[in-house]
Formats: sequence, structure tokens, C-alpha cells
Amino acid sequence: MSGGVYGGDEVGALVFDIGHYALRAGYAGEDSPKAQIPSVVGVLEKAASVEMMDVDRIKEAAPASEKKYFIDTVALNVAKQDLEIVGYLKDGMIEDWDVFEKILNYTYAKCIKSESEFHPVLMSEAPWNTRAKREKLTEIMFEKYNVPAFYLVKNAVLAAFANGRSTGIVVDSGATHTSAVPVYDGYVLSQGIVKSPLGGDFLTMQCKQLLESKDIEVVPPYMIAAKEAVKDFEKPKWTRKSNLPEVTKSWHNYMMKEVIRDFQSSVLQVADAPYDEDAVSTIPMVHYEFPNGYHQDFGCERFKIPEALFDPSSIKGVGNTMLGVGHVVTTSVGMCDIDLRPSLYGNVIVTGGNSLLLGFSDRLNRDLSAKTPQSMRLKIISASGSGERRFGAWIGGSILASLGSFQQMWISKQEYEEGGKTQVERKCP
Amino acid sequence: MSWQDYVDKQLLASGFVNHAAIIGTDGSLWAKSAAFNVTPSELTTFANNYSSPEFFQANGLTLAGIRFIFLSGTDRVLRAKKNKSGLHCMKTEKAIVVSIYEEPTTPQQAANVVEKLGEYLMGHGY
Repeated sequence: MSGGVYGGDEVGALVFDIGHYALRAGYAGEDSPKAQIPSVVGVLEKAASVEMMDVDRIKEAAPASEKKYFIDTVALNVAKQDLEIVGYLKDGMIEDWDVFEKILNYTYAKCIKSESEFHPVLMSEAPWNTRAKREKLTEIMFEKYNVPAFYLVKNAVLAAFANGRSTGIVVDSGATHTSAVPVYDGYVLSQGIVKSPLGGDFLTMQCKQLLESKDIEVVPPYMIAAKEAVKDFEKPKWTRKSNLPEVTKSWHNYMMKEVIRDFQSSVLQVADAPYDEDAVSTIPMVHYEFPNGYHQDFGCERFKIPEALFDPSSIKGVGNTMLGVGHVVTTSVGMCDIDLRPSLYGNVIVTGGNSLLLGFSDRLNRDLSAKTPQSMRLKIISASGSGERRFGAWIGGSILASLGSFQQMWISKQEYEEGGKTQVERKCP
Repeated sequence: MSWQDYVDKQLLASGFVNHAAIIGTDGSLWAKSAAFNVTPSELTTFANNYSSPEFFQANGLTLAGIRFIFLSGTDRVLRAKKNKSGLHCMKTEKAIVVSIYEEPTTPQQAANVVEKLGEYLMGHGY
């Protein structure tokens, strides 16, 4: 065992948490990540004639294809001709390894500001990650980045650790999906994982439809030169920037999505009981101003949209084929060992950026208590701060990697050289 | 080396395994450590369902009277846990290496011992 090599708690380990919305990176032992980098990059595919401004990008144009990558919020948000937006994840797993490496390079150079060979790396992965992808990741980290030690943990396990639990059911509502993952003693019970595609991106899409049906034009801030104050419901008065380059559709959509995401997090709220128009209309409306100056109050719509998370039958055209959050949890628990169920219901851990919607955990509590047997003690555990919830898995990783007793768990470089990439299956179950 | 030697000198002697057994893929007992009170019927159920984890997921996994909770498994390796003790097994061509470890041994340490023996046996046609 490599226990002798990493004797102390202070090993300067890095923690990476890969999510669909962003990659979180930072040092183990700290209470929040150093950087959050969007999980999309801008790609410019043409001969390098554009003048270089080497502040926020990595100069690594592969000779075969003249591609230039624009990484992180600052570089992404500048309007550029022909800049396409691409993601590198699919279903929580890394799909485009080139882009992933570019992002890692960027993170080491600009956020961590250190060399990869000095820091052990603990990385999170989707609970349903495949063996081939885990081995490939291990190989890349050891061969390309030369890390001294590496470890892979399922993000659900990390989220449980962040809440001080090693057993429980982790309800992770993120950008692309909502999942329930049973965890026993730090192990994911893979047979009990239940996923539903209803997550933050789904709500964003619903918000977009709502705004379209109300004839509210969403204008991303990059197009706006100036705006004037208008009364609510009045046509906005704004002037367009004159020197805008011809941007691609994917980039424009990305900017639109950012605006709607802001709308979504400021306006939406989950009703504490199944949606009822009369009850909801008594709750005060919420005011929202769009970047172009248009503003109005939003009433029952703001409850109607997130209702779909808990009761998908209210979505048009989908019917009963999808599971609401409450159902996702009960189905998942139902697939686990009967001896385990009480401790799962007693530790329902809520995490993920989308669970920050107002009223999310209260409603989950209500839905679950209606569905669980009387004899079960139900307890919902959720971090109260928005940072703790958004960075749940990262914080868990930060705690784990700085534990003294964890130091013998790393796959060390020596073990990798002796055993090869299959070590990851043995050491990180 | 006899099968008993593998159990005593390879598995138990490592210090990471508390109880161990080597059984055939049909559930017949080839060798076991002294204090491992496993019954023939437990072994038969265990061996028969080895490659269909669905059974263990629903019913748990009982060996020597302890009902382990199934964690994960492939067609070779199987992991289970009960409070402070864990179970790590590896199936080779003709045998299954069964081992039970207790804290503070980590699952990784037990896995190393068991899988090394498993690979060795497979290399010799078992």
C-alpha cells in the first residue's frame, strides 16, 4: 500500500467535479471550489488569422484541424463570428475527450496555476459511468497529466459525504436530469439507480415556451447597446449594438439560455401542495425585468412550470411516461434490499443546482411522506446554503481527499505502472 | 499446494482476510478456513446465482449465517457488505474464491489479495 508515501493529511490534492452545467475544480480541504468552468466550449474552425489575445485561451491548435477553443465564461461570452458552442459530456459521461483535455489544460494553467504532476487528483463520475470510460480517464490522467495519484468516486457518494452520511439515497437534480442513487456505506448500489430527464434544462425549455407564448422577446445582453425605462407590460425601448459580428445559431442559443436560466432561478417556485390554481393565485406575484428593459409580474405560471418535475402528467404531449421526483425516489428504494430501505428513507439527501428552486425539498418531503409506509421514518437532508447544494459533490470530494484515512486509498503512480489501467476497477469500486 | 494451503497461506496469511473459502462453481466446498461456518445449502445458492445479481439484490447474500447486502458485481468479481464486515469474491474458470474481511481492512486491500489469487488460479487453468 502507498500509505507510507502519503502520510500526512496535507498532500495538496485537487478535486474535480464534472457536471453537465460546469466543471468544478479546487484544492481538497477548502470549503468551496476555486473555479467553476462551464461545460461547454466555443470552437472556431478556421485558419488562424484572427488576431490572438492570449488572455483566456490555450494556444494548442492541432496542426491537422485548425481549431481554436474558447474556454470559460469570459472567453465564451464575447460575440465572435462562426464561433460554435459544443459540449463534451453526454448523459453525465465524458464523450469528447479532446475538448475535455482542453478544459483540463485550461484549468491547470489558469485556475490551479500549477503543474499536474505535483497534485494527486480525485475526480467525480456519473454513477452509471462505464468501465471503458473509467479506464480511459485513468490512463489519460496518469499518462498525459502525470499525476502522482488518482482516485475516482461516484458523485452521489461524494454528495452523501458532504452531508455527513455514508448511507442514504441521493436525489440529484441537475441540469440534464434528476436521479435517485442509493448509497450503502460509501458504495453505489447500481441496480437501484433511477433517472428521469426532467431537470434544469427541461425547465429552461418550458420557460422558453412560456415566454414565446406570451410574445415576450428574449434578447441576450450582448445585442443591447442601450435601453430606456418603460412601464410594465409596455413595449421595451432598446437600441441594438451596431457592430455585432454574424454569430452562429448555437452561440446565440447559448446566450438566450443564460438569460432564461436567470429568469428561471429568480421567478420559479415549487408549490408546496399539488398545483391548484386558486391556492396559487393568492400568493404574491414576482416581478422580473428582462435585459432589454421589458418587465412584468409573473403569477401562477411560476408555479405551473416546476410542477412538471413532481407531476409530469401536466406536461403537454408527454403523458404518464415519465416519473416525477417523488416517484423516482420510491421506485429506486423499491429496487433495493428490504433490510436497507429504512436507512434509505431515513437519509434522503437532496443535492444538485436544480434542487435550489424555492420549495423543492419541502414539496419532495410532502410527496414522499404520502408515498412511504407509515412505519418508515422519513428524513430529508439538504444543505441550506446555495453553495453547499450546487457544489455538493465537490465539497464531498474535498472532505474525502483530505481525510487521513483516505490517503491509503489512492491509486498511486507506482500501482498504475505495475497493474495498468484495470487498477481503477479494483481500487475505486 | 493443496486447496487448504491456498486458503491458509495465501488468503489468511495476508492479514487482510478474516475468513475465506475456495469452492467449485457448482457450490461444492474445496477448502475453508477453520472458523468459517458456512453451510452447503448457502454455498449452493451462492454459486448458482453468482452471475445473476438480481437474486442477491432482492434477497441479500447469506454466508455463514450473515446476511450481506449486495453492492456490485461483474461476472467475475462480487462485492457485498454488512456493517463492519465485507465480502469480496472472485470467480475463476472452475472455482470461486470467497473472502470476508473486517474493518479496519479496506475493501481495496481485500480486493487486492483475492483478485491476485484469482488471477493466479486462472493462469493455471482453474
